[in-house]
Amino acid sequence: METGKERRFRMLINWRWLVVTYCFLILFSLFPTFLAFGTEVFFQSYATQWFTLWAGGSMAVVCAFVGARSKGITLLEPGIASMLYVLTLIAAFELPWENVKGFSRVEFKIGLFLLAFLIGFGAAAMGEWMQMRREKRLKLSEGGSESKVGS
Amino acid sequence: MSQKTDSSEFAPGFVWQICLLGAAVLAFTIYSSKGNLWVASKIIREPATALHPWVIAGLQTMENGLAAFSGMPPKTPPLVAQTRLLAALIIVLVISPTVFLLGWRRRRLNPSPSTGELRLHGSGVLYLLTGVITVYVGLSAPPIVYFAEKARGDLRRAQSVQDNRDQIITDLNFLALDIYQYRLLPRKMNGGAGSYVGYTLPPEVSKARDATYSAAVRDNEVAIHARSTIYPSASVKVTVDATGRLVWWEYAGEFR
Repeated sequence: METGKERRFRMLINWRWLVVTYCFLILFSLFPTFLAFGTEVFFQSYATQWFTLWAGGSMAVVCAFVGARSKGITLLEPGIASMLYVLTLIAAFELPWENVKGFSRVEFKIGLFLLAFLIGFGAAAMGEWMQMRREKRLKLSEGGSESKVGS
Repeated sequence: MSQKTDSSEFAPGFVWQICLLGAAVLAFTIYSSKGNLWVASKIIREPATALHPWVIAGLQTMENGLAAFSGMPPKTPPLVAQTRLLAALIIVLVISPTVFLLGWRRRRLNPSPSTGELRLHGSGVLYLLTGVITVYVGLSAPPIVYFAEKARGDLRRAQSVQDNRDQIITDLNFLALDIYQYRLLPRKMNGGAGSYVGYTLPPEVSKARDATYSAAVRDNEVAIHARSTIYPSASVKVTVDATGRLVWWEYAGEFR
C-alpha cells in the first residue's frame, strides 16, 4: 500500500518522465554529439567550445520538448535528468572540459551539475510556457467554434 | 494546465523500450569511445567513434603509407577492429537507413490521426534515432567526398609540378655542359675560343616537351630562361658563369 510520503514523492517527481528524459538525453544529445565529434581531429583547436555549445544546446532542446510534451508541470524531472546525464558524461568519457583553467576539478564538476540543472529546469520551463500557450490557443479556438455552433 | 498523470502519456511498454534503447546506445558510445585503446601506439589517432568507418579506413591507408615510407610492411588491423568496422558499416549504412525509410513509408501510408490523445511510442523514438543517423550520414558524406577528391587532385597536381620542375633542372644541367663545351672549344671546331659569344641553343632543346628555353649570351656568362609548357606561369632562370657552373637560380610561379 502506498504511504503518504511515497504519494508526495510521486506528486513531486514523475519517475517515468525522469527516466524517459534521461534516455532522451542519451539518445538525442549524447549520441548526436558523438556522431558529430567523432571526427574531432578536424577541429581540435575549438573542440571545447563547440562541444560545450553542442552538448548544452541539445540538452536544452530535449528538456524543452519534455516540458512541452508532458502533461502537467514537469520541471524537476528534466533538471534532475540533466544532472544525471552530466554525471554519466563525467564518469564515462574523457571530455574536452577536463582541462579548463581557473577551476579546481571539484569546483568545476559541482558547477557543471548546477549548470546542467539550470539548463534542464529553464528549458523545461520554456517548454511548459509553450504548452500553456498552445492550450490557451486551443481553448480559444474551441470556444470560438462552439459559439458559432450555438448561434 | 492539466493535472500531472502518467497513464495516457506513454504507449504500453514505452518506458521499458526507451530504457533498453538508451542503455544500448550508451553502451555503444562508451565502447566506441573506449574501444580504440588498441591503437594508442599508432602515429595517427583514430576518431572517437566507430560510426565513421570511412575516416578510420582513410587513416589506416595513411598509416600504411607511412609504414611503407619507413620500409616496413603494412600492418593488418586486428580482427576486433575489423569486426568493429564491419558492424559500424552495417549499422550506419544498412540498418539505420532501412529502418528510417520503412518507418517513413509507413507514416506516409498510415498518417497518425490529427485528433485524439498523442502517445509516445518506442517505434517513434527508434524512427527519430535512425533518422538522425541517416541524415547525419547523408549530410556528412558529400563534404567528405568533396574534400577527399580535392586533396587527391591537389596532391596529383603538386606531384606533376614537381616532376616538371625536376625535368627542367635536368635539361638545364645538360644545357650548361653544352654551353661550357662551346666556350672551351676553338673556333675551328665551332667553339667560342674562351668566350660564350656566338652560342646558339641546339635545335633539340628548342623542341623540348617540358619547357621552352631562351638564352641571353654575354662574353663571360649565359643567362637561360626556361618557361614550362605545361604550367605557363611557372619558369626557371639560371646563369652559366665563366667556369660552367649554374648560378643564381630563380624560380617563378608554381615552381616557387
